[in-house]
Amino acid sequence: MSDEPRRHPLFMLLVALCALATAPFLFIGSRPIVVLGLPVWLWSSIGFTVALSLLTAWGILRYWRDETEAADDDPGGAA
Amino acid sequence: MTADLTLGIFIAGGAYVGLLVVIGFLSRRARRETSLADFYLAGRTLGPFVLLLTLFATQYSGNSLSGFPGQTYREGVAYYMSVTFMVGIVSGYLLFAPRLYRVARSGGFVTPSDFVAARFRNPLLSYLSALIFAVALLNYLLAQLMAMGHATAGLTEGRIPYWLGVIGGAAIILLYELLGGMRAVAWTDALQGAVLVVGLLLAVGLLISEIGSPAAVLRQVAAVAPAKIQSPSLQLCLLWLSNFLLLFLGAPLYPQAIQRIYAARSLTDLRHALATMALLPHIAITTVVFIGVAGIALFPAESGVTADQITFKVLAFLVEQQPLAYVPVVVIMIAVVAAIMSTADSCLLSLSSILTKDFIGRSRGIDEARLARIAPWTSIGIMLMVTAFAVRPLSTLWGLLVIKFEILIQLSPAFVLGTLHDSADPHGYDGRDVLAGLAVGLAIALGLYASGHRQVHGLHAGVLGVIANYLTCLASRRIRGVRGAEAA
Repeated sequence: MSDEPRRHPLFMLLVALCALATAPFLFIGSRPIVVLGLPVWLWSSIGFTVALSLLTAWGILRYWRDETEAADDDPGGAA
Repeated sequence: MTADLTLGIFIAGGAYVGLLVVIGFLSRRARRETSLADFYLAGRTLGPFVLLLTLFATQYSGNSLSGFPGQTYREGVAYYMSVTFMVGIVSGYLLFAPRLYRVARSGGFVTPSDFVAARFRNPLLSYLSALIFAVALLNYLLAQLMAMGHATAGLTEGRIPYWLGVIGGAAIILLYELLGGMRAVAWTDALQGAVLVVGLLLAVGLLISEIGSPAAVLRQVAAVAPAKIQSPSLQLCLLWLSNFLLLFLGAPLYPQAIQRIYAARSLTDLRHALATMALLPHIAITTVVFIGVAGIALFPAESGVTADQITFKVLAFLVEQQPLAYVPVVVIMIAVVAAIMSTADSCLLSLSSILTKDFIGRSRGIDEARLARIAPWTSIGIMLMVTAFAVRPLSTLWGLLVIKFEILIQLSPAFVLGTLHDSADPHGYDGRDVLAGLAVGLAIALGLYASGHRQVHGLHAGVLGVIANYLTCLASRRIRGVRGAEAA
């Protein structure tokens, strides 16, 4: 059965929120507080960017299904 | 740069180019038939490893390796946004790639415009989409050839002049591409991608061992240029978001990227390659940003170093500090050339496919067997023309072509909305909706650009255009629906 990531609104909402949060809007104009050598705003952007890429990879593997997949992967199988 | 380093680049570069030509000959032996799908899509046989590396090498151009450190040097740590938008490119595939892969498989598509033609059955829209793809590719190919000329001249300290770098690089790319088409491009991309990965990993190791951890480097940056680690302003945050949207919606539409979706051997291979691609910016782009940040610490503004020079300045510094860095630095420099060549060869192949199939084939009704014989000649013609422009770039032409993303992104609704429904579905978007949206989007993007408003409050002209484009598509479909209901 076919499936695709954009048919899952909650997943797409999470992707959109992560993408939005990568830009450090919450830290505009704040004094750069350094934690473990990096400014907090940078930690925040790194965290959300990592979350975005993990979500994207997970969405591709979890929600991208196709009825042709079995036939594709088994050249000798039924079309 | 030391004379020794130049000698190393000559030897390694010569060996690398020789290997590319050998791969070209090997790929020729692997050809299965004379068809457009075999020449332009490697017979749809790309497995997961080659697919991943060809996607990687194609997406990471010379600009990613030498331009991003320069941008970081200029703008500061906030250019970490480049990691975000490179992840965003892969996220963008979530919007249309699954369905596109399926219909391309069943429809035997070769070019991106094949989808537009089959889905909307509107000749004007088909030609317009092919024209937009061609303009974007022409720009990209021209930019890569010019970058190749500058890189070879810079790396060899002028021993290979700019014009010879352009012509030599173009000739090598053309040679292996004519030998094996997409198969040669993908296989050489695999080599180029591997060189890129190795080069970047070596760069990280060298930077940390010679300059210090990212935290230590940032402490130095805070001391010499505190403004470069400040939290971004509202304007910069908006620019961050706009860059993300531009690449999220635009970059997955690059014809060479779409054709790699078509060329995948199976859906499983494609999913695994794209899922891995979503993680790669954390290694690849974080490294190039780190090079730029290290440049800020090593070469403060008063040093007179320009942003364009920063990658090579940092690498030369590493060799001066640590002679053992010689081989890794040569590999990194070859990786810069590899990144340029891998993007250029993919652009050439895609542009050739669009001119051959979408323009020559569609306008003259030539059968596919004859088109397959024309294809190599199209590649030769394109390369001759673009090389001539690259050797003597015309500033007016260049000015028109730098807006490729602003134009390319306007095709986003055709793919995102077009893959929501089948062409037979009366509730789906039709060609008139997409054409109306495209006209509005292009008018806004080009109008803003022409009037000097490349960005409005940090938002790119193309992003504002594509928002209007989507809204027009939605409104057009709604109006058609109301009219249809009234007529019924």
